Amino acid sequence: MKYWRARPAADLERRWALPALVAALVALIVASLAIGRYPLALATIVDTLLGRGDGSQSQATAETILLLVRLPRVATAVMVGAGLSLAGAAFQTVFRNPMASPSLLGVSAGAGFGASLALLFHLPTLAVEGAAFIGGLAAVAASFLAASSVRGNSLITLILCGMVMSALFQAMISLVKYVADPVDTLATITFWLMGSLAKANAADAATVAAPVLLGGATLFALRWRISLLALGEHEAAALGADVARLRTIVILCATAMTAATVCVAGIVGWVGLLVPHIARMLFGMEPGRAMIATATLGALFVLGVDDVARSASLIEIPLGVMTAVIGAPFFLFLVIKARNEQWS
Amino acid sequence: MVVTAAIEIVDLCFRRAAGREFVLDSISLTARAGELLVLLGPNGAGKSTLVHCLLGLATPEQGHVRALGDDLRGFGRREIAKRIGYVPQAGHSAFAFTVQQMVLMGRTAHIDGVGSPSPQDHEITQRAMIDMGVDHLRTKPFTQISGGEQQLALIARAVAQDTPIIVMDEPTSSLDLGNQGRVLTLMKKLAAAGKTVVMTTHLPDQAFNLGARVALLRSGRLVAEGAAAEVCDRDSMSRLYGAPMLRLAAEDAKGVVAFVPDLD
Amino acid sequence: MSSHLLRIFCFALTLLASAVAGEGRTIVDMDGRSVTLPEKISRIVTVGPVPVLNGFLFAFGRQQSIANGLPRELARKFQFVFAPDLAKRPIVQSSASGLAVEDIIALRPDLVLTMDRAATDKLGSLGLPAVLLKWREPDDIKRLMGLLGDILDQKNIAADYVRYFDATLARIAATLGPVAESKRPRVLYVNYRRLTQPHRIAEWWIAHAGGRSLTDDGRDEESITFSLEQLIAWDPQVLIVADRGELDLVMAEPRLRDVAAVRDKRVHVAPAGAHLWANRTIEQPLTILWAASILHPETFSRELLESEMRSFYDRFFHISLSKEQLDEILAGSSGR
Repeated sequence: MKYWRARPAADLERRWALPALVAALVALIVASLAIGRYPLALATIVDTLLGRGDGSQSQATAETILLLVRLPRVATAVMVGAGLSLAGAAFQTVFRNPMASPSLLGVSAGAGFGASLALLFHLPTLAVEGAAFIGGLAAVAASFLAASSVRGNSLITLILCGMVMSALFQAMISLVKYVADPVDTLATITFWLMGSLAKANAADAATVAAPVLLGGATLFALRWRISLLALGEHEAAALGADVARLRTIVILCATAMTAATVCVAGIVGWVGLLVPHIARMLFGMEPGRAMIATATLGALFVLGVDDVARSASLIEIPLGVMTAVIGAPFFLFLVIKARNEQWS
Repeated sequence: MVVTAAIEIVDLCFRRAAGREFVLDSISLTARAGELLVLLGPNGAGKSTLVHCLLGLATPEQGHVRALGDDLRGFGRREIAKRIGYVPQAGHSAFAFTVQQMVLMGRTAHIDGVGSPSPQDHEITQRAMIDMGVDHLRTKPFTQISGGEQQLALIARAVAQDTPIIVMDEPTSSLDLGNQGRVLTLMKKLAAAGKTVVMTTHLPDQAFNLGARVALLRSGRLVAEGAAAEVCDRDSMSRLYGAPMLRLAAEDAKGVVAFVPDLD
Repeated sequence: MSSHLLRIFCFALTLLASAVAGEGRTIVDMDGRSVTLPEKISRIVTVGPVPVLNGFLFAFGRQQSIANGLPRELARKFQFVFAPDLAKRPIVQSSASGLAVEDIIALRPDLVLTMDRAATDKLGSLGLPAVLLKWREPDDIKRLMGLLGDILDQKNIAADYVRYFDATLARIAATLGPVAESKRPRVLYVNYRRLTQPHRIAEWWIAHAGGRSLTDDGRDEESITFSLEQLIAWDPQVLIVADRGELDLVMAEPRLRDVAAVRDKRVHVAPAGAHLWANRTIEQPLTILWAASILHPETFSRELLESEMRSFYDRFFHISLSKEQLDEILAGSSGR
């Protein structure tokens, strides 16, 4: 079955394309520090970052805004974007399915359930995040357990079990919402699930950075062998890859990364599905390049979208809503483009 | 002069689960270095299963598979991959790796767990592609080349893997006669270079063309083994496929004999 | 001639009989629906924002008439102080299962008060006398009390409340005097957990208390959401939160430490009596007075506030509150 034509656009194969992309991310990070509802002059930003200051009240506020509000939020957005895209790319490879997303095995639904439950019992933020992480891992573990009880234990079985677990945990989320007090708790849960970086602070940035950096580093180190998994179990094994071990490592890393992003940002969709495709289309399939491109594009996307979400108007638009609104039509465009070009 | 067999299959028995019937029943085969071995048999005879056992992808219930004198059971995947290369049927891939990336994957067994291909690996890949005649396609997505070109690329991958044994599973099924010829010629060259080449096929005439030894497999049992001219005659072929066959031979066919179903 | 008299007498008797039989009267609720109600209302069920509706009924002295209890998630201590019998009443709604319609019917209410159309339609279609009350604009409370006065045949109390409402507002305005824009502190009523200002009515009472609400943008929606950065950019001089849990959150938040309200420790928890004073409640005139006392403490003292509270609860709820109870109300709820 012919699938995505990942013919790299000729000019992006050139050596400078990837460094240019990374440079673009750095530029956007710097620009994002200058964007926001609170007016901060560029000179003030530079002074604050360099530790120079006049000790005035406005300087103190500028510091607070820059270092405690914007910087953590920008860092979190970058980590969320990179983490989700890498997890999505990893899942697409392992499951040999370009339609796979990080939530394939139920991690998003599980994390959402954990968080909803914690919010229902009015637990503090730290507990909510912890519950989300545990919930995500539990859902994937449940998928594995269910799949292992089925004889044959193929990938398809795992995907089916993942779908079942996803649906199950979604149903449980609905149950929690049903029981929640409509005046306050229900709104909090709904808002949380929609995905938002509104209250991202330094602790959040650290929480998501650790798994994303660790998981990403692991996936990068093993990138060559992981790409073999795309060929299928038998071919990969015959080429010398330890398929079972690789699969476990990849799924573990991807799950941890995704669960971490759900913890701090709620459920943000479409990034894990869309960005790997774009990265492959533009930068080709070479494992190292593709991974760096994926992570960078993911970070650019989420950071860009979040910049718009927090400064476009007085009202904050939830991140998950925006990624869906932008992601879904763009994906449709990609599908149409791919289909048309196959038939020409 | 003692010649160690490159491949030794001793009393191989395989079944999917205890209590079910044997898919492979007491198969014993050997193949030496530089030899071509063709596995013939009807659908469901167990050819693919035998291939999988040979590659260590399936564990037999009884019996041994030895490559270069060592039992496969004691080896990890990487060790096996250094000894035996696999050429699957050219088929579906959901991801459009370039031909070069595909062939480069053949070097995996020689690359460390967390490593990347070295310049030497790239060189070997290049040479394999040139030898197989697919170098001009190196930047093309694998999914966009013809079936024949894909098969050649997969063989190039096995060549890049640089193993003394190569196992091919129906390498010419989806190829036209021209490409069939090319693939068979390559197989002769590989054997001539000292490799052991095992292949499964539906077409007995390929065994004749290759001058190969033949093993007949039927219902999981080894029915006959030997030179093509000795083992394949009209009766044995008809028995093998469970249908009347016609034997086609010609004076100027250079000893190549073909079999076609007798429709009357 | 005697036959005429007899006929008139019979006719009068019939009229009297039909009146006594309580065929009922028809009123028009605040949604324009005609509802038939019995002459005498003795059993009332409040559905939806139960504490708010109860508060209206407390003002009419109708604590005993309330037939339903308070759902757990909406219960407040002072509801039971103002109407001790409420603790014994059956609860007929919960967020888990919505309205327990059969239980409501079993209570045989003469009147069902709601504040949302869906509930009114649902209960009305089952033959229950459901009346919709609306309170969107600040002045709606006066129409609402007037309607209740008609329904409960206590027009004098309704009129008294309206008078009190207008008089209190006028007194506060007079005491405040004309306040220059620069003297109006920047005020933000915020739900910090979700970064929203949840109730439009707050814009109104903040303004009447001599403050300037930072979220007063003439919007139509009930609530407004904003970013943390926007909050800091506004630099409110006074923050009002709904419970003490929120107060702790705000004071402990390192990113807010440079905000004027946090620096000057002008973060206040809205009081909670029959209901949270910051939201729509019968106690709204007290809300404005309290807000004025925290925005302009030099003009409105705490003693003034406490004395007005005593007077309000005595006049409308017929209860004398102790100093401890007043303090408790003013301290606000603890939150989670």
